[in-house]
Amino acid sequence: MARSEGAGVETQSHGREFVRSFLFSVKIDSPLARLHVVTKLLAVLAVSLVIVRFIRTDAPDPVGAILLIALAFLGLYLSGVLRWVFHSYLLVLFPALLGMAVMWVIFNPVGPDENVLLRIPVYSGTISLGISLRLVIFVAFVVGWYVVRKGVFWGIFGGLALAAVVTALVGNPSLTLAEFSFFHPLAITVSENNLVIAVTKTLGYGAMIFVSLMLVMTSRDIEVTGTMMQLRVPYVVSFFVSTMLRSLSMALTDYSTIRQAQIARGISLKKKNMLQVIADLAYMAVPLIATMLRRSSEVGDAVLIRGFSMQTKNPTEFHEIRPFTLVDWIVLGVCALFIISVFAWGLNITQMMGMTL
Amino acid sequence: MSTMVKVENLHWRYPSFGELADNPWTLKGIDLEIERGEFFGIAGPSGAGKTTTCKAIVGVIPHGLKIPFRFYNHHLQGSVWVDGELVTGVDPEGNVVDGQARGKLLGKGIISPQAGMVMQDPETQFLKMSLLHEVAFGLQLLKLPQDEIEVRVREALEMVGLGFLISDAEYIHPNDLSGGQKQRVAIASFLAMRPELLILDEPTSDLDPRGKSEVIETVRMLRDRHNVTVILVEQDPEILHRFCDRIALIDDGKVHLVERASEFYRRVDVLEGCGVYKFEVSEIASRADIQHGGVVPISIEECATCFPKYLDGTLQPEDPDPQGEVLLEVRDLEYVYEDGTQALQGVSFELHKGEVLALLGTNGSGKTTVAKILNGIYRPSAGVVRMLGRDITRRSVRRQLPKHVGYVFQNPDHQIFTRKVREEVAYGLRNLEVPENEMEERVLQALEAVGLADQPDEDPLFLGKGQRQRLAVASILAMQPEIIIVDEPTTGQDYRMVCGIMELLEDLHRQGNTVLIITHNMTLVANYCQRVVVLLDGRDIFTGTSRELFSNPDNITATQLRAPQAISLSVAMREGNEKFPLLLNTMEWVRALEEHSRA
Repeated sequence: MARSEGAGVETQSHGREFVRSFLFSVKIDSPLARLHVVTKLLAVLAVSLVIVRFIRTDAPDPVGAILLIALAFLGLYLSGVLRWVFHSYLLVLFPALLGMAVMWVIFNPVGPDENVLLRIPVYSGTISLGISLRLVIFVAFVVGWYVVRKGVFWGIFGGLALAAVVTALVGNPSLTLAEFSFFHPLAITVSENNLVIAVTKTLGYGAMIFVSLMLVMTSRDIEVTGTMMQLRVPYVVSFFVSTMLRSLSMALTDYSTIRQAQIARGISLKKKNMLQVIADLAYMAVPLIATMLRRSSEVGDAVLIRGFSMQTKNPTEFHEIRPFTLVDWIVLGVCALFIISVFAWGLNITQMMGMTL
Repeated sequence: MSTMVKVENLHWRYPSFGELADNPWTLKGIDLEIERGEFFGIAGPSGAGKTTTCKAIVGVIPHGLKIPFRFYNHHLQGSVWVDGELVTGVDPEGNVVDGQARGKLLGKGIISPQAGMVMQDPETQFLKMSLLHEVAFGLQLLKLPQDEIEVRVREALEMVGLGFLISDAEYIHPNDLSGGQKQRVAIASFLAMRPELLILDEPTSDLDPRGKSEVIETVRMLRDRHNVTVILVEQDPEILHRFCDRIALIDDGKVHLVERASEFYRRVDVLEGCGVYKFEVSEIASRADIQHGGVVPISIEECATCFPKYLDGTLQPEDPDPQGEVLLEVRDLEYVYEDGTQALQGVSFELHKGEVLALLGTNGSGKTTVAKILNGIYRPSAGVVRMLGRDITRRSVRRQLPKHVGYVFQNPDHQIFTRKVREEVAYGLRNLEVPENEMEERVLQALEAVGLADQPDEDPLFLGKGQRQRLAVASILAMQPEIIIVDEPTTGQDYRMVCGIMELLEDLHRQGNTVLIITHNMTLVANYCQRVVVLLDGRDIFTGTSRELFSNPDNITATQLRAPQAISLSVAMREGNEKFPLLLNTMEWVRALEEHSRA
C-alpha cells in the first residue's frame, strides 16, 4: 500500500496532462480518472437503476433526472472530456433524444381527466374517394420533378409544399365521388402529463448515456488488467484480455488508414445510396482481416520471445493494480444510499420539492 | 573466446495446415558459429531464411509452434546451441508410432531472457498499453522485485535515448509514439532483461538515416560495455560494414559466405549472385574495371586513390529547370492536428508536369501529412494549395481530389480491397464511374505498366510483398491521376525489389507521369528524382536539384540527411581537383568513366 501511495505522489509531478482512455483521453489527475474502475462500473449500474425508477410513468421525477444529467456533465467536465462529447457525440445524441421525446409525447395514452395542452386531428375516421386541387397539384409536381430531375424525395417534398401554399391561397375545391368510414378518428394529443413523462424519460436516458460515456472515457485498458489481477483471475486470462485490447487498438489504427486508402481510391467521389455505402464498408473487411492475420502470428512470436508461456503464473505486479481507496468506498456508499432511498423509501425529488402533477 | 551460438546443419520446413502439398524446406542446412561478444551481421534477400534462422536461434522455431502429429523428422534436422546448451535438436530415432520413427524434439526450448529478439514491425511487438508496462513486461514475467524493475526500466529507456519519457512512461500510449520511438522501445524492452544474446531483425527499416545509425550505435555501445553478443540482420551495407565484426550471407536457406566485415563487401561476384546490396562505389569500380590493390574498393577513401583524378568537368550532366506547367502550387501550408500538434508550419513548393519530385525529411518532419493534404484526406489549417489552379481548401474541390491525385500508401495490405488482381484495379475505376468497355482496357494497361498483366485472376493476398506493392501502384495508375504520390515505396524491401520499384518509377516517369515520392532511400532520390524538397519540423528547409542537395555538405548537415556514396565520392575527388564533375549516381559515374577511358 505504501508503495502505491508513493507512486501516486510521483504522478503529481509528470508533465503530461492527458492520458489515452478507451475513448479519447482523460485528464490524469481528474477525480474520475482516480476512481477505481470497479467503483465506476458499479456507480454506472446504480445510476441506471435509479433512472429506471425515476422515469416510471406513474410517478416521474424530472427534477431527479435533471440532477443526474447535471452530475454526469459535471463528471465529464472535471475529467476534461466534455469537449469531446460535444465535439463528436452530441450531434448524434441530440436528434436521437429529441426523436424519443416526440414519440413519447405523441404516443403515450392520455387518461380521461388529464390536462390536455394541444390536440391536432389527423384523421377524421372516413376515407373519401375523389379529386381535389391539392391532390392534382401534388401528383403533377411529383411526376414533373421525376421526369425532369429523376429524383423522388424533393419531388414529394416540393409537391406537398406547393399544394399547401396554393390551397391556402385559393382554397381547395374538391369533388367527392364516394365516402366510407374506416377505423376511428385519430388525433395527436399533447397532455401535460405526457410532456412531463417525455421530458423525464429523455433526460433520464440522456443521463444513462452520458454516465456510460463517462465510464469508457475515463477508464484505461491497463485498469482492466489490474482489476483482473486484483480479482485473482488467472494471469493467462488477464494477459489474453490485455493482448486482445491492444490488438483492438492496432485494428482501429489500421481501420483509419484503410479508410483513407479507400478515399484515395475515389470512394467518396459520387453520391451513394445506403446499399452502396454498406458495400464499401464490406470491402474494408479484406484489408482489415489480411492485416490482422499477418499480424497475429508476429504478435504470437513476440509474446513467446519475451518469455511468456501458458504456464506463466503470478508475475510481479508493477503499477497495474490500483488500491481501493476511501473515496471509492464513499462513492459506493453514496450509490447504495441512493438506491435504498429511491427503491425502499420511494424517494422522489420532484415531489419532495413540493411540485405535484 | 568461447562460442556463443552454434547452428549445425539446420534444416527447417514450416508446417502447412491446408490440403496443399508440403511446404518446401525454408532452411536447407544452415551452419553458423558466432563468438561471445561478437557483433555479427546477416545479409541476404527477402525470403532467404534470415528471420527463420534468428527465430530458430532463440528457440521460437520449433518450440513455439505446433508440429502436426509431432512428426519432427518431417520438419527439422540439425541442432542449435547457445552458450554451450542445446536449444533445439532432434533425435531421429525417437517417438516411434506404428513402427515409424517420427523424431523426438530435444533441447531446452525458448531461451528467454538469455536471448532477446527485436523484430521488424515495432507496432506488433508493442504488447502493452503503456510505455512503462511495455518495458516492464519481460521483467514482471521474470518475477523481479518492483524496485529492481523500476531501476531497470529507467536504465533501458536511457540507453535507447528515451530517458526523457520516463516520468510520463505510465501514461504514454503506443499511439503517442512515432515509428522510430517504437523501434527504440522494442530494443529497450529486451535490454531491460539484460540478455547475453541480442538479435535484431531489420530493426531500423522505418527509421531515417540518422536515427538508424543512432539506434545501432546504442547497441554497439552495449556490446562494448557488457560483452553482449549481437546478431544484426540488415540490408544497408553501410550499417553492416560500420558496426559488424563478421557478416554472413544467407540465400535460399543456405549460408553462402561468412567473411570479416572489412572483406565481405569486396566479394562483389557472390553478392551480385544472391541479389543483395553492394556499396555504390564497388559497383562503379567493378563496372569500370578499377581495382584497389588487387581488390574491389569499398570506401570513398580507397576510391580516391585508385579512381582517375582528372575527369573532364564537362562530363557533369546538366540539370535542366523543370519545363512542364505547374500542376501543384503549395504556399505557406500549415496543418494542426486535432490534439493541437502543429505538424506543418509553413511549407511551400511547386510540382511541375512530368517531373519526379522527392519529398524528404527525418521521421516526423511532416512528409506524410503533406501527402494526405494533397490527396484531400486532411484539410489545410492555413496557407494555399492550388491543384491545377483550383484552391483545395474548398470542400467541393477537395472532394474531387482523388481523381487528380493518386496516393499509394506505404503498406500495400492497407489498400487491397478485393480478392482478384483484375477486380482490384477496377475498384477505383468503378468509383470514377468509368464505362465498362473502357474499364477493361485501362485495367490491362495499368497491369502491363507494373508487370502484372500475366496474372489478372490471382488472389492479391497470395502475391509476394513486392507484387502487392506493384498492384497498389497499378490500382492508382489506372485512375489516371495527374499526380501520383508514392509513400515510402522501398521500406523493408530487399535489393531486387527496390531495383524493381526503381525501374517502375523510371517507367512511370518516361510515360510522362508526374510523381511525388516520399522516401528515406537517398540512392533512389539520386537515381531518379530531378528535384527535391526537404522538410524539417514541418517547414521546407531546402528546395533544389538532388545534385545541389547532396554535393553541399552544409545542406546535408542542415537537412539531417545522408548523401549517397556516389555523389560523396565526386565531392571527395573535388578536393584534389576543383573542376572534377559532380557525378550524382552510379549511372552517371559509369558513363563518365567510359567516356574518360575512350578519350
